[in-house]
Amino acid sequence: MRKYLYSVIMACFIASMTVVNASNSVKLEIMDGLDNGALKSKMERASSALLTEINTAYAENRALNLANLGLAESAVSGLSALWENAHFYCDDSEVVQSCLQAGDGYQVRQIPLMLKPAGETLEDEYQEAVITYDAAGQITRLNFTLSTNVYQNVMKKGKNVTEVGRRQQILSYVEQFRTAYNEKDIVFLENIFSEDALIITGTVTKVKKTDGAGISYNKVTYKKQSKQEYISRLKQSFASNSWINVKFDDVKVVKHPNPQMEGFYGVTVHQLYSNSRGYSDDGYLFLLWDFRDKDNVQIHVRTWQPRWMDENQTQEIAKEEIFTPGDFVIDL
Amino acid sequence: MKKLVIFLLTGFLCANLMAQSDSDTKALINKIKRSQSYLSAEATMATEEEAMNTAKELLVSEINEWVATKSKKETVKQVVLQDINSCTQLMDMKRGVRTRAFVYVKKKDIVLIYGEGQIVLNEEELQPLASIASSSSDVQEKVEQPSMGEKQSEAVVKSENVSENAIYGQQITPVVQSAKSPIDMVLEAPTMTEMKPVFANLKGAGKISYGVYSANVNKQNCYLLFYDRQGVIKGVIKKSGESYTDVRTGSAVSLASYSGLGTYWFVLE
Repeated sequence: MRKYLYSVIMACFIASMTVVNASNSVKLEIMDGLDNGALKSKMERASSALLTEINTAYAENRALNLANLGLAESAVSGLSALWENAHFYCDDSEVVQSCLQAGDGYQVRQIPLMLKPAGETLEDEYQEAVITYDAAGQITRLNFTLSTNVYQNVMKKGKNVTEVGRRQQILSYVEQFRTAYNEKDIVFLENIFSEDALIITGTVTKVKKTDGAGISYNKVTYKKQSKQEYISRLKQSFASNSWINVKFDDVKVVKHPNPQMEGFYGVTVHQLYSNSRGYSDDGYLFLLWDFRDKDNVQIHVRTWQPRWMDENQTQEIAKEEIFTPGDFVIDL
Repeated sequence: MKKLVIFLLTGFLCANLMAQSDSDTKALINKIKRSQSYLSAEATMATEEEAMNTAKELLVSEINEWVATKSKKETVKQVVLQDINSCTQLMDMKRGVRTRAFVYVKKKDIVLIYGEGQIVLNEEELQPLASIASSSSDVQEKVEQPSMGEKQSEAVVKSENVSENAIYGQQITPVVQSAKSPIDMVLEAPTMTEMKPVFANLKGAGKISYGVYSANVNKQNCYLLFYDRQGVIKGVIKKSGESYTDVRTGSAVSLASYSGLGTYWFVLE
């Protein structure tokens, strides 16, 4: 009798745990920011279905099945590529967020994800995502986002409606740019860099003073690459790594100081990079974006500078050394 | 075997209780988000302090946006969160190794201060004064309160002060506890600019009710506060039935002496 009782209790225990884990359903609700009820319902249904599929695929450790979710092709290809690189799940069964107008479409931000990269070297980590929609409410992208405080810090510097809209557009591109590395989306990266883009990579080198005292010091030396050289190296890196993890944990957006360079913005990012082969770096990425043509946004300059000037990571690169928009002259 | 079963059952019950608590908190957060009575913000950061600070910054932005939707928004000079300890609360919970902070404030606890010499608490106070004669605590009881288990509220809800955050280009005026009597605090303010935080503090502490005084206001026992167009306070008068006494001098006065001045009535609890 006692043995039987124990078996029943154990069975109940296992069954309860299974039930708890079996629910992968996610419901996304838009609480405000969208007056069109039909559009809102459509976006809610599509987003809920997508997040539920993500959670189910995660639980079953399988590829995403996005065929019948009504996503735009850009969302399908982006998500599929992202899933190759990292599996993740939505941390909440019910997500209640505002909808933001973003250009001609919409965004729902702060989607809570727990991210498990394909490699074994990284632990599960929290990552927020943004779902972007076109004007008809179709999902066009799911991007990993900048952290909320970084996003907020950039947005609150917008002085007027136009500037706020432009900043939102810049951050949207920055988020897609960052996610493109996680997705290994070489097509997006090829398109976003202008043909004559200037790519500069800085490395710390030890220099011996010539005064004979034998004292050495560190300095950053710079190497220039063409877009073709950079993309070629990137392709090699994408092919040889099962996953790449890029994080932007600080972002500054500065309008170009030259009034003739209207539409040019410098974006300085603190970037943390790591890949499946064990390489990692910590540095400042500067991107000179050209937003003059909103349908053909381009990056003309990409520079990377190391954060630390020494191996012990005691001496940071001087702030004035980090590139700014005024350091570059573009022939218009 | 018996010990193993007891151990497993205990673990199972604890895990279920924790999951239940976590899910209750998430449900509560979503309920507050959906409510039209609250403004809220959340952030998930590496530390509780970072999460709290970011969530508070976001809440300030939410308040600013909400103020911008108000009629007469261009005349709002200052925004005051009254009784901050009760009107802003923080919930924290874990997301992996990070901490999620959720802060919210009741819209009715946000005080909008308009141009010089005008104190308007909220839309409700623009209604006929007879309907708002109740104290602030009465008003607060009408605000939709999300249901929350007592045990849970002890576990996850902490009072949080957001007084350091700038709102609408101004500072949220902190609620300050003072040893002075309420009437002394009122008498010390020479202008309406200085009077605003005094009134807000007292209202936050549930020690004052007040409104714009006009001919159709029938209050038998209250104080009257008179101020000129520049916001300079010209007198604080105690009204007892039909007699009026200057509180500073203790001498009887006539209302005719204050003709043409702006007037507030207030009652100290």
